[in-house]
Amino acid sequence: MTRLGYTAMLALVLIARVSAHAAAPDIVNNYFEDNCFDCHDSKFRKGNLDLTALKFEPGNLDNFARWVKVFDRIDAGEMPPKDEPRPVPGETKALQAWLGDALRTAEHARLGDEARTGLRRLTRAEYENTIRDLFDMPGIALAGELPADGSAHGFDTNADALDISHVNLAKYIEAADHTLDYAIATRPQPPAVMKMRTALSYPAGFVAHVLMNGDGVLLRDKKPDPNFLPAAEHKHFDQGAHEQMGVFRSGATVGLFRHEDESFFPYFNEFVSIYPGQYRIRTSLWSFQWDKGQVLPSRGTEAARLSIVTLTGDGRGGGHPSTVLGYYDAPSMHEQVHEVTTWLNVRETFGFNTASLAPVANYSRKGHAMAFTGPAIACDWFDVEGPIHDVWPPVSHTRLFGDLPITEFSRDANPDVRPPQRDERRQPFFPGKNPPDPVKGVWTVHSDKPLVDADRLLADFLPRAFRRSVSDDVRKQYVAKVDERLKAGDCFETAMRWVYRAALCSPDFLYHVEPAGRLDDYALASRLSYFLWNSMPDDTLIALAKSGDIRKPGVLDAQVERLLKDPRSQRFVDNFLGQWLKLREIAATDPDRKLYPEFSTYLQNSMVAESRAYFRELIDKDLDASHLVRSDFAMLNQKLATHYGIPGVVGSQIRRVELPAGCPRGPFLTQAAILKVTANGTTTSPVPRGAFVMQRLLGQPPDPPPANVPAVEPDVRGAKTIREQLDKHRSDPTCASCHAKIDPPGFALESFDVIGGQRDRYRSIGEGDNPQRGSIDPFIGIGFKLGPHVDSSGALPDGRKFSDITTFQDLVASDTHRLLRNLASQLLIYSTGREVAFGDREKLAAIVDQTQKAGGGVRTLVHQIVLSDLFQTR
Amino acid sequence: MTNEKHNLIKARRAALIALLALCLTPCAPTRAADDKPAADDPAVGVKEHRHLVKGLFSKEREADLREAIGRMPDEIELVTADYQTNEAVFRYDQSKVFKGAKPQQVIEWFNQRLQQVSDRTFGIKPLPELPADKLTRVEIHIAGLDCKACSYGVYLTMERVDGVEVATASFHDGLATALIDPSKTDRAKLIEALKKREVDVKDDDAKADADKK
Repeated sequence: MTRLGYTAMLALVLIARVSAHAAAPDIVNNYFEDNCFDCHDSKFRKGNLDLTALKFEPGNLDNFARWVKVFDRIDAGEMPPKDEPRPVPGETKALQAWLGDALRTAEHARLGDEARTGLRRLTRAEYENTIRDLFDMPGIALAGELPADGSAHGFDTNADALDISHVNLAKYIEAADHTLDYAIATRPQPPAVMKMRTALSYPAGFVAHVLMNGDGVLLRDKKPDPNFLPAAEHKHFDQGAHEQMGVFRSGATVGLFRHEDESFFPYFNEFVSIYPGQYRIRTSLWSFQWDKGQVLPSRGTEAARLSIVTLTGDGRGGGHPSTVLGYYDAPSMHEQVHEVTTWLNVRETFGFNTASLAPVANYSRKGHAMAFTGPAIACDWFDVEGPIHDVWPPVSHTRLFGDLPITEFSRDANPDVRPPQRDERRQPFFPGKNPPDPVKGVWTVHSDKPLVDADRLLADFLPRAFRRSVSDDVRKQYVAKVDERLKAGDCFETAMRWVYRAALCSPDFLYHVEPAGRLDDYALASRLSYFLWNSMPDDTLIALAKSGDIRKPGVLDAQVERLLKDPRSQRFVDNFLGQWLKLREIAATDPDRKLYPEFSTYLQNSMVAESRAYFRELIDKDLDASHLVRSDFAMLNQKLATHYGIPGVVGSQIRRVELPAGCPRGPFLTQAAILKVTANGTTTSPVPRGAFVMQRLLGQPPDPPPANVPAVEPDVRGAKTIREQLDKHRSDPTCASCHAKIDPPGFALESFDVIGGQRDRYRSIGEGDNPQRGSIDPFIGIGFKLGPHVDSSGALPDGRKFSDITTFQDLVASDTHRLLRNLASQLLIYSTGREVAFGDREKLAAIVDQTQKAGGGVRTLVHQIVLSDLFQTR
Repeated sequence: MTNEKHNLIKARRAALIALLALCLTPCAPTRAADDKPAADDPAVGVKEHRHLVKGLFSKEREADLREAIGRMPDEIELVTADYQTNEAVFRYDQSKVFKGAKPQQVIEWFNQRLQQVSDRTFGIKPLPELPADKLTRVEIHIAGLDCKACSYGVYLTMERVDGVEVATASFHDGLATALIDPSKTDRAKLIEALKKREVDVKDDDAKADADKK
């Protein structure tokens, strides 16, 4: 080919390149040509990107997303790579300015005046909390009966995650009926308050059985009960004979060695709730060391777990669904009385577990209890009192029927009226000794002017339930329905129940009613309360919305403070963290029993409690975002402190513990809960942990892996470390670009195992050295070995190196702005129900700037978010 | 009227009078085979009555029985109790304490009331029909009885075997005894009943029993 031919060809190539960006100004074309095409052209396509072929069509969502990625890579300084010639000064800024404007314009054109947050219903948790607060029934259980919500952009509050089907509607009707069953008073006086002392060793129970076998003992005055000596060479004979002789009802203290397991469920089910309501429980607990018949001081304060158990079926057996009420200290040789008031639904009882003890079993041990030496937890007694009603009828009833009298229904006086339906309250389960308190006759709310009263009652209820004012027309439709039901022969209660159920199933109740654009005052009040309380606004917020004062200077700030100080804000902490840091998945994996024998439910629950308490502390003390990755304190109880190797923490309650210098513990980055949810129960991998850190803490979600790349299978036999296995993977140029960013946080976190314990060697079930016991309970058998050493060093994408987890923390903590920005983004997504769009970035940046100017604290951030346009606009 | 007819009428009248006299004469009280009352009428006045007590299987149970009797609302006094024979002597006025009970009902009424106050761990039953010298005493050594309630379990196991009239069990010395009707049961059957419930009968007893077979 002649020189002319070559020149012509070159000109054609250049023209082809330029014409691909015919819509972009020269500055873009020139920039790409000078800095990008060498790698990102049709020939090399590094990172699978050919910029020469990338048209600028941001009206197309995929195209828009690709250009956003280009923008972000350049903005982060990742491109051009550091080892390439630098762009001409000012060129990058000019390019970004143009590209940013173009993308914002395109986005705005696409979205138009459409509301940014889609129409969304209440989540399961929001529904349950709203019912609880509306009817003052703090423990009614509804969420578990509703279909699971989806998740979009990490949260279930996102409109994209909240579809609805006929299944939802059917469940809402059932839930409304269940709510009204609980809420409506069906008697003139409350059920008699029952006071009952029960023991762990009630006849025919699990504990009586294990006492026979030597997995526990009966004590009097801290000595073995002379009427029931500990099982020795033989187990006790004939449990029925013992029950007849009153051995288990003698008032003796029960000392248990055995932990709950798949065949042992200690319940206090001589009491099973018949009426829903508040119950007060008191119990006396202490711990001791048992030494073959002697009661001695224990190794320290132990922890017992109390739970609320929902009896199913005929109530027999164990393994019924339960929720943890709490962990309670059992000090050595010293009784501690614990008192708790809690809500119980019907058919519920209390469960007990020796939470801090390792699993032991004496039933198969030669010599049973008299051959055993080990710790035990003692329960002297367990008192239940309730249902406790401060007022009657309860608030739940007066919300529906005001102060209308409850009178006995007379069939003679109402021959054409159907009486309300009543289910007889009875003790449903055989061990339950607490009797019902029946009332004779049928009692129901009475109205002399039913339609007048209906109108009045609905005028109060509907605005409260719908979280905004309700027009007369809407209310009249409900009243008309009452009239219809009355004419059909329903009594007043049933007719009103009909419309209340309809209201609780209406879109006005089930959906967040938010106008497009700027939220009105009611919608703002609702958005604020669902953000910080996960529930409906209270009377104060509604009054502020009604009066128009909610947007007055200082009012929103004051309300944020009020809501954060209210105990209901714990719902925000639990719900937000549960999704942002995936704590809801804490039980998704069961750690391998052989590799991690020290794992227990108590440890797992303590992990979650740590994370929640830590976030609570960040809010309460207004601490800055560097605390997400590095901290000089931790929120610990004894169980966690032992797990982390931190001495001097006693007791089951989580409290703030100052850490010694150089201790990596404390922040979310190194909390056991996060380390567990980012592992698979058997092994760790830098990739999922690294991706978690990037996405959840740094706000730099990595691209998903290519479809045709299999996961790396860890070598649990200990021959190779995961890092060694990944090295081959990372050396592939195709993989390196992503893994150079993903892996470093994961390498640093290789310092921690699947249950968050710190390590310098991997555990294996194959080759290796025998481990030291360390803090592992002496009753737990150790079957794992110590394999290869952990290498937790690495380098950040910008080249900065770290040698271990603490030096990594120092590097990441220095980028407070990034951490704060990501947290702000997460909180915005959670509270507004939509993702942060490209066009929102400036406003997000403004929130972050304002926060940093005011100290950079998390509480300040919450304030700034609520005050922002992004929060106050749908 | 002829003399013959007159004599017939007289005879019929006499028979009718005799019949009436018979019906109007109060019946003498029947006695349960178990009670051994005092010489005079046991139904009237405070008297001592000897009964067989279920659940009186060891020395400690004598005090338990006294406590249980004390909880009864009736005026019944425990005079003596002997666990080795399962017998006790009570003092009460039958006509007052068990007012309205026929003699054969007294045991059952007493049994029910005693069961009520003792969570069914005590009861009253009829004295053995066989005299004591016709009953055979059986001894069985048992390992691993940990407490009084374990002994009660052994006692119940033996007492439920047909032919066992009296039984005792003690965790102190691991000894269970029974007075049995040899025509209805024997030592081997008792051991079998115990072993069926996984009671650890000591080897020498089991071996002796096997040898007998």
